[in-house]
Amino acid sequence: MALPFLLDRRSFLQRTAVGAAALCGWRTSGERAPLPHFTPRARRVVYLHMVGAPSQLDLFDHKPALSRWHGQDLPDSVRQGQRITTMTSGQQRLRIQNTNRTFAKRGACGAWISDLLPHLAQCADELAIVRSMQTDAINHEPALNLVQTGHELPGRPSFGAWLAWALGADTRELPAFVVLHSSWSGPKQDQALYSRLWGAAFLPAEHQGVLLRSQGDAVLFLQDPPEVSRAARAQQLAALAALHEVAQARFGDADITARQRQAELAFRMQAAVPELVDLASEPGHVTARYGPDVHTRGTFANNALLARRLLERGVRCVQIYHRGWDQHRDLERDLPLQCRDVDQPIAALLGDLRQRGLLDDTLVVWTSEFGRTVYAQGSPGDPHYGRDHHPRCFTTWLAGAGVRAGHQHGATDELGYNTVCDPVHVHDLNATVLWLCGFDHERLTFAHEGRDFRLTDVHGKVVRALLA
Amino acid sequence: MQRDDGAWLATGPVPQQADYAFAGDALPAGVRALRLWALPDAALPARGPGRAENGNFVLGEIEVEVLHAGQWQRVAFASAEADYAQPGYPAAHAIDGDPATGWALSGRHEATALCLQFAEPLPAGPLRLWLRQQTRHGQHVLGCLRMEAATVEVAGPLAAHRAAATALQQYEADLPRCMVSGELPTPRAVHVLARGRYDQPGERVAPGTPLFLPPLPADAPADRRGLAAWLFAPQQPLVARVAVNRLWLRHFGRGLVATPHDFGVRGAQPSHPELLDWLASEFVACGYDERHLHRLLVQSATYRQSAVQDANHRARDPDNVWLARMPRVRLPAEAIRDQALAVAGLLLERRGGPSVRIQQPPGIWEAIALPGSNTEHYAADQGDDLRRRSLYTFWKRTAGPPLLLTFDAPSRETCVVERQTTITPLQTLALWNDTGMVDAARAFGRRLAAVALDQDAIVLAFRLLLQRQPDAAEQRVAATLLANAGQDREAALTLLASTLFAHDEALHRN
Repeated sequence: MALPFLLDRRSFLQRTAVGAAALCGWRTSGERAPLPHFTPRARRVVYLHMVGAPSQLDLFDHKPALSRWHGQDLPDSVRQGQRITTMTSGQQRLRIQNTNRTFAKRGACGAWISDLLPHLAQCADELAIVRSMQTDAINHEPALNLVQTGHELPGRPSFGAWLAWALGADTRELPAFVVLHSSWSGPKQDQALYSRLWGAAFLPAEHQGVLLRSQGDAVLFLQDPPEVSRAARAQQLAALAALHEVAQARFGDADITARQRQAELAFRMQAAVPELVDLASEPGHVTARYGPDVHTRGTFANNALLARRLLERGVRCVQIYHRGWDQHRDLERDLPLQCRDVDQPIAALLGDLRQRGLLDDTLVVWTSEFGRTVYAQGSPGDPHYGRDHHPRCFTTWLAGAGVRAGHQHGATDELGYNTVCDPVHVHDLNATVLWLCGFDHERLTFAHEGRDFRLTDVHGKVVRALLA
Repeated sequence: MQRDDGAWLATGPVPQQADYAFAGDALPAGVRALRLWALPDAALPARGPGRAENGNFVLGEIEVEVLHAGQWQRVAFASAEADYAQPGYPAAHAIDGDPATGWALSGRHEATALCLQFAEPLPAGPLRLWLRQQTRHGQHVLGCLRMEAATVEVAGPLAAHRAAATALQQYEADLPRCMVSGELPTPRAVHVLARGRYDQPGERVAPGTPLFLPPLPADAPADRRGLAAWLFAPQQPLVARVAVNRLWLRHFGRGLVATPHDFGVRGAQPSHPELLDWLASEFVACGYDERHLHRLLVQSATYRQSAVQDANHRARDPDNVWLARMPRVRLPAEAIRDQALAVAGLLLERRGGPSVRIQQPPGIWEAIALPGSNTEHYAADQGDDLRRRSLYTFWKRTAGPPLLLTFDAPSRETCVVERQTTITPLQTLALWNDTGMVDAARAFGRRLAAVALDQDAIVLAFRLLLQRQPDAAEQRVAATLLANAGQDREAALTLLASTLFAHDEALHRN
């Protein structure tokens, strides 16, 4: 018999006792997670994903040469026959599109950040900016799968599920991995998201991301029906405890006690979660920092503040999605709207975490699934121009625990098309993030269908230069 | 260029958008209609008739002018009808004055006619004509076409044809539909894609079995029929073994081979190899009759053992590999919901029919949907449909029904041979607060309230849900719950019902 299935119940008991995720409950099969391989720098992670791919050329990757190249064709010597999407492969010409943004060197580190992110620019010295990110996929879905699960095809656990499995949570009231979806200001015709992006795949299902919802109950099924009072629930719970005790004595199955404990946790969550999402206890100067949208449920600002509250309460990984960045058209109109959604809240989150001492052991990751092209999508001179998908380079930044703050990593060529220095593949990013969380990405494995799986598949190198 | 049959074939680079202009010879007076043929051609992508990658086009607008009395005059149309139109792209869109809407044919690669009736018979004179294709889809321009003019009154026969076509369409729309796969007449060339990149085709490959397994039968085609022949060849031992192991897994919660998805070198050894082989031969001998095998398993002495375990069991065989007792097997998600409906007296066992949208919390689809898609907004079905077995649940894979997912139903995005079994707080919350479960608890409470004495109602509740009598201690616990629950007897029994829904024993075969 294969080893994973030979674990005895005692080892599960011990593991649960040392504090696996509160929502995790019980495992009836599966492999034991390893302990961290070394002392983690990051105790928790907040992962900000801009779904659709923001234009790095209008935000972080400053290319003064574009003003000179504007309107000219992308030289074949730069493109080197690389594939482009079918959305622009039919265009007669691939004309270089200058940025209309103003760039400046920010902070003591002198990081180039454009005028679309004025609040984040003030945090420049907290960030390690990687301008040489690369991915393999050129379309959203495989690229999202790749960066979030380490594989272009569906069926692998998400980054957060790996962390939840490996580390559990520091809370008994909340799950280890929480996912937040944000409303957005750009056009609503946007990519769909998929629950597999925060799914556990073959890891035990309790490690999948739990959606903290922005409409209805914040956690599914939280609200009791109107005729059932809190006191009635408490009586039910007491009755259930007595019945489970009888059943436990009869069957001798430890799972029965486990179920009772999870029922009691459910009861506690019914109080803990509404308290969590109620921002009334936040002082005015804190909410003001996140901007005017903070009081509207489901906004990025609201989610950013919720993320801080979740992390404070011991949640291991918070993933915030913000959609609407897929500017194939009307980049001039929509990119500023999208930036306004996130700029102030991100800066507020960084500042808030810093002020509470949480940034020292909280890792903040800001990324997307790929970048956008230097050439315009649309007819020449079209004021509604956009930029197409670009996997060869894009910008990601890290901040917080163990990150070399102020570091500027990697570089692209003068057109911002190819990476010319220190490329960082998304596997490398994932390897680095796992390292900061205390794991050697090559040893964090799970046996499934005859092989050991990892977040980084068979790739990935820790980017030492990003580490403090 | 013009084909031998007079049709026009577009060549050269494919434009993103294009307007085609045609000038014709003088026509006699009385032209009433124009027919535009969109034609397939081997030179076009997917055989056309359009030049887009999928052979489609979008004809935004047709404009016709006739030279009369020295003046070019715009001709008004009375109607536009086509043999076929892609849903959302009807023929009428080609004459609606809006170049942003158009007629298109996605998926149809046959000669297709668009009939345009003029409002008035035309005077004699030359015609000129524009096909406007300023489509936002890019490259969706016509590839091959021919035009014919008619002086006859075509409305009559067309009307009869239209009535017949409508009747046929209605008949076809009423037929239930399901997806089937079929073999292509000419199999598509399949290449190994270098590093998975679609633009880097490598070696061309053909269907076959992995080399470590026997080859497909020599006399069978290398397609799904060949695979079926291979799977059920008399000398094939693997299929029956894998199949009976999965059936065993369903009844005993654990396969005789503990890795039901992996019978390879990294898979587990069977715990009872002779039993596995005997079951496999029995399965083959009975003609792969699953019902026979189910009956065999559930009537076995092993299956009929008690699930009670003692310290001796736990010490000597904690995972119950040797089956000295019956394992407690968690009900699958679907059965948990069905059971609640059944004990509440709600379950409707009607077979077949379309899938049902069961109750689910608001916002599940909306939060992640593609805006504008037909699965953006969720509306639960009403009435009897909600009482049908969970088997009939409508399933959106990227956002499955949360009640069922909470009890470890797979998302259906990838194949799952062995479901996980978890115990989470969300499960208790779902049993207590999911709208459908709340309705079932209320109905169960009503059913119990029909019994005069509380004591008997408690017995009925246990017998329906746990298939046994409560013992004295359980009677006391339930009676205390009812006593504390207030004056409303039905509400109190509903509370008892939902308490028992969350009982571990109700969620298992014991």
